[in-house]
Amino acid sequence: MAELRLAALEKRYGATVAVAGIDLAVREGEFMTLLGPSGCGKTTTLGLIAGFFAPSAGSIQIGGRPVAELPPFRRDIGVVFQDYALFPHLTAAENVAFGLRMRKLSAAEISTRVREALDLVQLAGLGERRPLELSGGQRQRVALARALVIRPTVLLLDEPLSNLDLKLREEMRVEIATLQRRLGITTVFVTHDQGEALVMSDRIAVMNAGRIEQVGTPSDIYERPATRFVAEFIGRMNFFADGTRTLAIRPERARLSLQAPGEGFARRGTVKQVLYLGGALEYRLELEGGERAIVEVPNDGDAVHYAEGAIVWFSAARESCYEIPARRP
Amino acid sequence: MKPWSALRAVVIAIYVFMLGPIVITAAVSFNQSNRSQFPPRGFSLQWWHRAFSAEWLDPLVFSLKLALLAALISTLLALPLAFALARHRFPGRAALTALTLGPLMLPALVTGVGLLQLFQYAGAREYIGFTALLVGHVVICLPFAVRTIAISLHTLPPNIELAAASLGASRAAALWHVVLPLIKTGIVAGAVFAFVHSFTDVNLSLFLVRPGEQPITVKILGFLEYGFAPTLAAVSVITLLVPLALVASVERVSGLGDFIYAARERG
Amino acid sequence: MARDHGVIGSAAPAAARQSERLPWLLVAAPLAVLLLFFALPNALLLSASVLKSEAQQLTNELTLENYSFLFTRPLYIWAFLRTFIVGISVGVIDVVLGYPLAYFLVRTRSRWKGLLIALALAPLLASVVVRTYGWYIILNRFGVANDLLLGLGLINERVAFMPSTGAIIVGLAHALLPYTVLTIMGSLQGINPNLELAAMSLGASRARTFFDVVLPLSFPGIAGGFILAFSIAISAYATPAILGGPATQVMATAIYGFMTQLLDWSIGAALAVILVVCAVALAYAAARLGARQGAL
Repeated sequence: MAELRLAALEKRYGATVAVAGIDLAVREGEFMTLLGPSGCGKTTTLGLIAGFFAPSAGSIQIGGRPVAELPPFRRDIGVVFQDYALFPHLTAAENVAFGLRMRKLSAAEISTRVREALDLVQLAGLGERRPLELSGGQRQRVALARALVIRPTVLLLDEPLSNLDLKLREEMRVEIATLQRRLGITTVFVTHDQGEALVMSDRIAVMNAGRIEQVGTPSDIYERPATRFVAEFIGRMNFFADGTRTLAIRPERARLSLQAPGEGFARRGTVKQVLYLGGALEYRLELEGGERAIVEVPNDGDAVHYAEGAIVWFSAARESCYEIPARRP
Repeated sequence: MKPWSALRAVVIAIYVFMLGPIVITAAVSFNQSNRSQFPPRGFSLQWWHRAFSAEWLDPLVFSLKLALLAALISTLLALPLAFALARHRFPGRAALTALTLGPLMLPALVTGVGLLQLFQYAGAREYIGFTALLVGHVVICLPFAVRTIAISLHTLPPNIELAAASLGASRAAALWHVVLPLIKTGIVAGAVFAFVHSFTDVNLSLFLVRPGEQPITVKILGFLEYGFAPTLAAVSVITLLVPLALVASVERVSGLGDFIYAARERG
Repeated sequence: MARDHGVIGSAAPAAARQSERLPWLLVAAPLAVLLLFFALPNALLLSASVLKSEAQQLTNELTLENYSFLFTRPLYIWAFLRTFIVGISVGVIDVVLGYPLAYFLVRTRSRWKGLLIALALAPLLASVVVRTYGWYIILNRFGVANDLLLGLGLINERVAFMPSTGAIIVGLAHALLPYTVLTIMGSLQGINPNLELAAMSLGASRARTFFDVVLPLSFPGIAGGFILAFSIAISAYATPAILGGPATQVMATAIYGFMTQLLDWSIGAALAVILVVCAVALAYAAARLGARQGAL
């Protein structure tokens, strides 16, 4: 288990720049997520780490070793693809055994490790099935087992949960994160789903247009976004211009009241829409001055309910107002 | 009448048209007399006896040998060619594709005539016969095999080779362990189409035969000059049954359905 | 919902190496075979067609006589005409017969669908000689057709259905029908079945839906099927040889005559070249017309 280091990494396709200079250090055993909208370069970055294509500039080091010249089959990585890329002509067990066969382990050792790996992902007993005979969730686990069984230095996951339905996705998030913690493999996870990123990661690198906008722990990213893009991309945010400053207030930190609050940030407005989210109520307001705002109130039975058209006060405590730093140099 | 029922009636009539002559040929081969009567009068196996005599068995075996060899060689040649055309981009790819499909696009007749001329001018007259036929058949069967293998290559799951590489397989290992098993059906289909095409060819073979070395199709054609004979009917049925048996058994084992559109000529 | 395969797959699959050089190792052997035994013979034919022939030997004299010979003798002009009439007739008949069958096979929900398709294509497994022989049995003076018509009292004495151009057309139409069916089937399968449902939901009857939606969309298949049948028909030898005679020559039988009986290679080669030019022109037309979803 070693660390992964990307330095000034670039990837250009003709005139298009997919990755525009990335510096990133992933600590040993860390779960690092590359998060961003489609086209931001996160998947390309993963492909560069894996060695599926060569960088236009910059370096990649795994465990202190520069690997940019090495083909994928010499980098000691494990990859889980978005579409799983299971070998259709092999059974689940044979799929998992593939990497071990390439490493020329003995039949006995392969058999033991395959069994362990299938147990690890809770697929014991399904080894003889072919991918066609497995459900989406089961295929995903086979893909995971196949990448883990070879005990790679770095584990790479390319949006592995995006083809699963919601319930399964939420379950697998926790399972994968738990597994990773147990095995301690350095992991890079790519996703556009911020919920996944927040739940699973030790640190998140938010990417946009080929660059990293911010690297930090989930709470860093969520509560102290470094740029407007990060603030908007993770969760929802209310923005208010205040002179040269931009104030950002999370909808769940804002409050609604009929009376003007004593201190803190406050504006008057009208409730334009009330959305029922099950566990919460979302109020969409139009404030004096024309700004739009969103407030999220837990639906805990005690909350006062406001109707559409009601005149209310939108407010937030001082501590709940976050100032977005001016553009970084 | 409802449109679908009308369609069904029309379709039945078309099937009668399509299969009628074949059924009639088969029936007539059991005729007692020497006539092409249908429905046949009397029942006799004498013509079938004659169909298995040396006179007809020799060309049948000749055709089988020829088709087997032609299928084998053209499939072997088609493999690297299909890989090159389906997976690489290089200048001249379009020209190579055209050349590969050429024997399919141009009349086999012309290829046969051209080959005859080639062998004559090269002073290789003694090779006219089995060798020249084999060469000609390989040339016209090659496009079928290339087409089916290319189809297989195009339908490989997208990230499969990257997955193999990420698991430690070198390019050669990935080809052997992952790609080849997955294009097996395409290879088999190509070989089967090549076999059938060779076994049933007459236009090319016509020009490259020599006495004693002719495929059964050419022999049947020659005999037709003498008019009708029920033996010919029996022989004809046999030449249908051979490819039929092959295709039926391969379909069971390997499945040809994905490639049926690749079976049409000049497509 | 379209499945996402992840950008890695599409960005740089190991499958499509973007190499700029010709992969010599891969194509050397097959290329040699194709050049030597396909391109070269055709080139020889082309050269023979413009060389003068004397006493059944090719000379070195360049000439266009061979072509002018063909275009001025009535016998060969008729052969050309007959070839094209046969080709067009076969193309039309096969499209008219092939379309209903193709439509049925693509849309039927019968559990015998696979078997029915196999049955429609099985005739392709028999050599064209064999299939034509069936028509020989049917159409000859003492054959099934005559017996039937006599028996029904429709004729008084036996008719010679063959040798004739009509017999050739029937025989070829029969032999080439599966090809047309395959082509039209391919085109019909590409039509989204939801389009028909949409049309009907908007008030179109089954017939209207067919004529206004399905038929226009299957035009490439119809044209492709016609061209395919036409191009194979004009280069057919066996069927015209069996069902036709010396008075009903087509290009293929004429070529055979020149090459093996008259031993006039120059003119035979010229005929062959004309045939090739037609085939290439047709292939080009087909390529322009069709959205050929071929792997090559």
